[in-house]
Amino acid sequence: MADSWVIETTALTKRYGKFEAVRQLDLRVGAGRITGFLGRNGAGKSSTIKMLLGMSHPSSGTGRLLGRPIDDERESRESRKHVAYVAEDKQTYAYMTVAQMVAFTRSFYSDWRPEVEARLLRQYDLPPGRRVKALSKGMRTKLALLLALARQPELLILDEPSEGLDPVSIEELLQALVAAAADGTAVFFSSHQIAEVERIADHVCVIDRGRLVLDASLEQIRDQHRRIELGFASDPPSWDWSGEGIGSVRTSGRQITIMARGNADAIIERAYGIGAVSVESSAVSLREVFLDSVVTEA
Amino acid sequence: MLWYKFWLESRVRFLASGVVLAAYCVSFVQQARYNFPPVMEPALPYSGYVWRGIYNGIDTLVFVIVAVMLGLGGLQRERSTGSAGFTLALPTTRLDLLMPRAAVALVQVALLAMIPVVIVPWMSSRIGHVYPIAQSLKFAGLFAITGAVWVSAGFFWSAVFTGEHTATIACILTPILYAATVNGTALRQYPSANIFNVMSGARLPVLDRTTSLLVGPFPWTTMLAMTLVAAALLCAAVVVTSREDF
Repeated sequence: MADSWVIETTALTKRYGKFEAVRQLDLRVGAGRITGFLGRNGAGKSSTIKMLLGMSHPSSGTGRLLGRPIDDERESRESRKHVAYVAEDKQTYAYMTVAQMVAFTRSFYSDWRPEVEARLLRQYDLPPGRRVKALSKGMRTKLALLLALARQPELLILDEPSEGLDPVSIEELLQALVAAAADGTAVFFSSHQIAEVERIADHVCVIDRGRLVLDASLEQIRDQHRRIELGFASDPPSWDWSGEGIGSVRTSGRQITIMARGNADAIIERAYGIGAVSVESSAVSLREVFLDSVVTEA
Repeated sequence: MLWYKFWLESRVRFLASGVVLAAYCVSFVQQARYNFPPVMEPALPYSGYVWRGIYNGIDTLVFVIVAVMLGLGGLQRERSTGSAGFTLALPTTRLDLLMPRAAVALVQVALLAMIPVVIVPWMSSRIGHVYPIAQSLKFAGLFAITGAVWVSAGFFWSAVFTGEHTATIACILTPILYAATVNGTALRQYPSANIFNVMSGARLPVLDRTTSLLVGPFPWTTMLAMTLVAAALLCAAVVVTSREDF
């Protein structure tokens, strides 16, 4: 468990007219770790991030970023001095050159690292004199990443950071995020690429339809989430499987597959009690846990 | 660096506007070789010729459109180009983002107002006429302050409209609709309420009808009123922007 929270929200809600993009969100992101923020399209990930950074105003609820309230503009500005952000669309200023963009961004932050800037310019092969509008989508993404990674912020927030990158660049990005976390930066990133999250995250939050449906460390997920396959000699008995620790339940012929979110031993015991002739418990991937969370909650 | 950003954003509009206004002034004064005095009005003084062409002519309309367009840009525009997220994540408040942009646009419009000051007296002397630089400076003052109102109108529309071209269309329509309103309604009885009159001095007591030169004290009260209108529009833009979700 982390000692302090870099992001903390209580009942945070965002409504657009009658549509609730974020509902009563209680989110806590610990310092010094990598937290993956997963969710389907339109689940509320970007809306949450925008509220955290003061880009949109919460409809209700509260939030704190690096200990400062997000709905106070001056406090938000102070916290943003220590936050690096890569937006989903990775757009910067089309009319500036790469060098102008770097100089412009550098002027706002005291935690800028010129040596990292120089290394990333070489590594990403970004031409300093070229205008942003003349860069390819991948190069624009790399520039946006450079502007965030050349700093040493307390918190790095990335919205779909690997979108538009080639596999080599994705690998370099993931390594950079791990290195940033090793340097003490908390990393909070949203992604559709569950494999990326599974590879580098310490902690996973899943949001669906604006609500937090999973908040656990990857270790907890591996320990507690199991796929339990039950075999029966004849048609399985009808049984109310709903209860604590049970996710989705799928019946196929004489077999029932249960996604357990804990209490696996109790579920197995119950299965034997109703006549299961074979019980198999196996580990599940984060992808399965994610699908289980969002499908069950839907 | 925000100043630098806003300069880079608006420099093409500003420089193009400067070129258009300068070219018009040069062209108009040069035409005096052949068109002055007009055949129909042989008694028209040269100052009247300049006033009709530069300070109460097409140049005025061009200046108004240029000024209102200089107010365009900002976070709504950035939203449509996708860079609003980057800008809003910078450690600045929205007011920090608005004020330098407004200041850059106001300085630009003041510089554009100075173009006739540089060109008209100098070009006039080259073709054997005299136009007092003090007169050009007075008109530059009127243009700069009324221009601030037009810049602020553009600034306000760019805060209100989210569509990529909506604010631009509103900026073009604003002077036209405004002119139709003040000329076609009861407001016609109040010359000072017509910003075009204030720009040119037309129908104001400060303009000598014979020479078309500004005489008497500078209309400070009217200028103060214009400044307050500009400030009100800028404040309205600040309020709209501070409440906006991006």
